[in-house]
Amino acid sequence: MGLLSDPDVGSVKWVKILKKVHGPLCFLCYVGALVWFVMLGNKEFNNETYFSENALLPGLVTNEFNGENAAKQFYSELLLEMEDKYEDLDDMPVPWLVGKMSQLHLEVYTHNFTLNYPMGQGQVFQGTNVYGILRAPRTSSLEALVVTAPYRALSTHQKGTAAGIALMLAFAKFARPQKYWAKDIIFLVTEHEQLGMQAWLEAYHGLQSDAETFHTSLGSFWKPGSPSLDFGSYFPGFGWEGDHKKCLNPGKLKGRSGSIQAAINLEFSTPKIKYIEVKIEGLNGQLPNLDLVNLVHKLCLKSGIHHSYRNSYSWMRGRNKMDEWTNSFRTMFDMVLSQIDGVPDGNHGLFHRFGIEAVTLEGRDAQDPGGAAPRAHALSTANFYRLGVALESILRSLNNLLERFHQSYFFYLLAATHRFISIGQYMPSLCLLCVAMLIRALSLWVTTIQQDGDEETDKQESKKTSKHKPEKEKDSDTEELGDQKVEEVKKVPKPKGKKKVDDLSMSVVNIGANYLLVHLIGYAVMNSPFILSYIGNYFDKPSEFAVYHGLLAISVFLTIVTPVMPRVLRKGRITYEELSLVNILVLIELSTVCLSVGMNNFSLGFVIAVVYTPLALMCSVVVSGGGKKSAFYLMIKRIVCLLVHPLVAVSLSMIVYSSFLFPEEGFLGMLGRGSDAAMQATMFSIVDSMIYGNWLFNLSTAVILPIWIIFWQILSIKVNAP
Amino acid sequence: MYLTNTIYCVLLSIAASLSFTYGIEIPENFQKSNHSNNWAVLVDTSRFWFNYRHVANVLSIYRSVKRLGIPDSQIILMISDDMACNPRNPRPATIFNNAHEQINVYGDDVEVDYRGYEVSVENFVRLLTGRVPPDTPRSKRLLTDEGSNILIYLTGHGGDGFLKFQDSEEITSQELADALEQMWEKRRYNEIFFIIDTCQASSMYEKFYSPNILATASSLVGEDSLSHHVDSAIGVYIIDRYTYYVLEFLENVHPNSKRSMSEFLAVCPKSACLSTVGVRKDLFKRDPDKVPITDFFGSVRPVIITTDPIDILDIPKRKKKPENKTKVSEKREYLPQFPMHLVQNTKTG
Repeated sequence: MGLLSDPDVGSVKWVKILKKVHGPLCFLCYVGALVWFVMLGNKEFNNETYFSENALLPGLVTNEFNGENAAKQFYSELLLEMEDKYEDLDDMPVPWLVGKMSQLHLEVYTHNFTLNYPMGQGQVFQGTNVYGILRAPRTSSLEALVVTAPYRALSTHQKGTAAGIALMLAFAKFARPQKYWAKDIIFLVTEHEQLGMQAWLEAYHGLQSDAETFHTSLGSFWKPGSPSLDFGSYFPGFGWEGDHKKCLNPGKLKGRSGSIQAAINLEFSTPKIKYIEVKIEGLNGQLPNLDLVNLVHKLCLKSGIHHSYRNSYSWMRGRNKMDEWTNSFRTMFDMVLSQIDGVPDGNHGLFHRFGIEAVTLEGRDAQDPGGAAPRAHALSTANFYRLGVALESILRSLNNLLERFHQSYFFYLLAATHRFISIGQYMPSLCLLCVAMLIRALSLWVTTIQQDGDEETDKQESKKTSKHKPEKEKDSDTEELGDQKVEEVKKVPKPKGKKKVDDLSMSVVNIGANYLLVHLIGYAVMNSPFILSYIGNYFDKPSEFAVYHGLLAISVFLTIVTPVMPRVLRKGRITYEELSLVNILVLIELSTVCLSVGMNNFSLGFVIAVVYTPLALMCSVVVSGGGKKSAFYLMIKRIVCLLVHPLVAVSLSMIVYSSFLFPEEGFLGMLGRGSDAAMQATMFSIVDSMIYGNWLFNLSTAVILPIWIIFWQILSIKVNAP
Repeated sequence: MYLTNTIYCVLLSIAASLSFTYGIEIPENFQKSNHSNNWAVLVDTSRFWFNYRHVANVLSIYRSVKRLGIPDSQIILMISDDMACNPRNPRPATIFNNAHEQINVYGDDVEVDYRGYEVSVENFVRLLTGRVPPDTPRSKRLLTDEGSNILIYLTGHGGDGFLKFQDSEEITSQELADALEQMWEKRRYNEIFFIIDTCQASSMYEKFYSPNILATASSLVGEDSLSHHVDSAIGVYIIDRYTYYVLEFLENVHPNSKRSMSEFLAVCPKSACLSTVGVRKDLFKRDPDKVPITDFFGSVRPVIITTDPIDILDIPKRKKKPENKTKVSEKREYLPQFPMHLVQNTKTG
């Protein structure tokens, strides 16, 4: 720490060098990070997948699946049933499913759940899941595997899943008399897509409706029952908690099995598929263990079924190196894009947060809404027999498991069905981005303290220590916790003690108060949607409209008000040193946030870093009285800053996305579509956050927004040159 | 003179009558050797379903030594996991060692002495050194003496210098060597034939320093021992290569075979095993070429040659003992293995 406390630091050789080269160095880091990321697609930079788990014994056993005719029969019966009785209904044919499962001698149960829609006029949705348990004949029900299929009504615009359900039933029929099951198998048909799955999983794991949602129960140190501020008592009749405590009532299960070790989700609309798409991304970008993904790919291959993952198709192998590289990069990039929003791309995604490894097998035809695969027409068509064989061998392999999947990677990117990039390989690109920000912070720091040193030599010693201490502690706080609220709480009392030694040009209290206030604003915005939709209801507007425009209004308001905020809180003008310190702090905060988010969801952290690093590197304290040139630069900086405002960024990306989807529309139509899409996206992310515990909305309002506000403050306030 | 003559006469006549009646001559080596009985310690150290093959290995060896004449009372069989009762086993209550599934090696007459979690490093070392708790049943003791030839067979997962037990602990090659040295010091063996079928198996016998040990291993340091084939009906690797070829060899060995140990040591060439079979002969005093394989795999029944006629017609009459049911039955214990009461000048505590 000699660097931070040594008064002569300004004259050390490397400091001089740093001051000269930090600009190009940061730029180099940024470019290096992007290059590194692109290189990950290359074969030299990623690895062949392999099995780490010995117990799986994949594909050693001969297949005995003989349920092809049964599957066909189930399929036609189910279609008939749906056409006869459920033509216009969204309901699931519960009696039919219960009947069929009972005939197969499974333990059959139904499960009811209720959703009180958190937004709007308090609509209530209800649903029913049906599940049957095949008890392992020679062991106790301590462990279980899940085979599941979502039910989709005929009227849905999505592909049906009737063949998946039929296959599941046929497999149950085949598996029931076998004596080698060491784990129970739960056959589950869920209603309302992910909602039913979420409800079933919560009920299975004993989460009750009065329990908190997943993200609130995880991150807080607040034990239920401990004294707390209860806003509800001050404003009766108004749910301050956003009512998300009761939003999904999972009900109770009548029958349970053991701890679930793995789950396979089946989405087949017809048995005559060309290939299987293996979907892996889960909630908040969580991934299943790589061993399970490998297992599925390998056993598909062995059963003679073509399989794919995004842009990587098992029947397409690159002709040349460049081809392979672009293909792998596209696959990887697709995966990153789909992980950003943290929305699972199938029912498997909800299992992950319970520590259950799960994948979805989606059957695809040559012309699939999910994307046309090259040369898929020429492929041989699969049938129930082959699908059943694949399912059988996957489950028999899972049956061999002795403990949960734990051997292989949980954090990875896939470059192809058989190639992966481990966390150790992709993290450097994110780290380089954060290093660029930290270098920038360091160079600001050495510049600031040197200027101080030039001016006042007598007060040097006391000031150095006073400045360096809170800085140091803050630094460690952010690194350890990454939790904004805790950090702020700690920050406030610290500067008070140092007040005496501070002189006029540097008031840590003022800076700290501003910093805290900005983060509190972020927290308030995070909790605002409920109030916004409440207000929207009052004016008879749909809640998505109300929320989106409310957030827009809040953003505009904040953009105007926040630059004035530091002035209100103090007597004199804010000084250059203070603003530099704020700049350093926000750089450290942003890099910490990116790294800690990237540890959990690399894609999200990486994209935040890629978008915000340019702003962070550009941003500097504005000195009043510059020339025209500097005014022009300032304008550009401010425009960039406005563009990366979270809400603006979402709207812009939606407009760009819709212009890709509908290139024939005019500019205005594109804008309209884009803002509609942004409205929907915002609403979805809020609802996801409330029902499923998706972080995206919370992160962007409570963390990214305050950081943006601080950058905006720095760019908007002009100070006198030191 | 006269006396010795008569003794010779009697001995010769007994030998002649034996050879006449059974057609077996007592081999010359046998008469000269100190070897008076045979024991086998067969250990499978790994559990879990995917290690089915290790159980199959050890049970196959068990079957062979039993066929060649070592009785169950002199075989200590240690099996870490119960594959026959594993719920994943599609053939409940059986264990096979070949995909043809002709022989159920877990038949009716298998006596497992240490099973499941009893198979631990501590129990194994205690068994070898004879330092077992006093209430240990005879079936769990290695009751060998200075005339015993012991066959030790180990299979499981090993590394350079250790053998893993139960996925939780391991025995190092030094510990094993020390245990064998203790056995030698306690006069618990005459000769040992040590076989080990694991990865990097030869590392386990490199530390041995006690005399009269012949050791062989399925692979050298740095090599993996591989499995032989898969039984796709059961869905596991069914047997290891080395043991597979050992069994193939032993199937053609009979109690009267004249096969030598050096044939056994060359049983699995590298082309078949895919790993190099390691042999250590320097501790072993005899030439393996001249040692019959039955010295370790077969069994010597204790033969006592006597000149006194035994009156077998004199049936001891049963005496009716006065019944004393009220009394607490007296505690019985085994005689000390070493005949301390015959040794003079010692104070027995």
